[in-house]
Amino acid sequence: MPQNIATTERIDEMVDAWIKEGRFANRSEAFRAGIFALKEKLEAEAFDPDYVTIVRELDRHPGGTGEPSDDDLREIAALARKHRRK
Amino acid sequence: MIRAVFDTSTVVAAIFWPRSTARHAWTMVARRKVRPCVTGAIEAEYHDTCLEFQGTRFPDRSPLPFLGWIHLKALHCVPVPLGKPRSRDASDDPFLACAKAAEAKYIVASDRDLLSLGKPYGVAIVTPMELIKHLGGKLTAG
Repeated sequence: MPQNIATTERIDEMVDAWIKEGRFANRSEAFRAGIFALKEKLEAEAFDPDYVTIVRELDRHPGGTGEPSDDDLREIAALARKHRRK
Repeated sequence: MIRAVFDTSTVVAAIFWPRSTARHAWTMVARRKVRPCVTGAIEAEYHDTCLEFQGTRFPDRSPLPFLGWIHLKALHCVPVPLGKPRSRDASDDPFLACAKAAEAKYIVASDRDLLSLGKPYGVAIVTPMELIKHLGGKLTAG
């Protein structure tokens, strides 16, 4: 339940500290600001959903294991140079 | 958002090696910490190299959706002239010209010729692993 999450000891302490610092007039205002800040943080750190969809589909098909070897990288670099526009 | 130019080797490794450091470096783009920068020539090189590599090594694994996503997320630049060739291999200069035009902070490279350049025009040329470290990221599975 959201209420249970919002009343955990840690969050209560944080909200109390904010009110003591005079950042917010009351608890409900502090909670609202905290939830908005959390939402912004989660959105900023979240993966682009298009990327997630694309790599999930891509990785259903066989690919290389671990890291490309030095030989693989040489092969790729040679191909890239072949296709490079002057 | 930090701007970076990715060399073709890093793009190919990210697409065809799902557990590679190059893939992790691209997750920095997916997490909106880095904005990739391209020119038309660089995008054409990504496209042609990936398709030929797919054909010879991983035929079931289409690079096109990933390349399409790069196209949508990238800053598209017109390359600026560099004057005399800067790279050990002068054909690497398009990446420098793009980085200079975009005022990019990094070129992310797996190609040794590019990595040997140091910091031309104030652009740090780093490996995918170094990019992740610079941005405070962690290598995680998946």
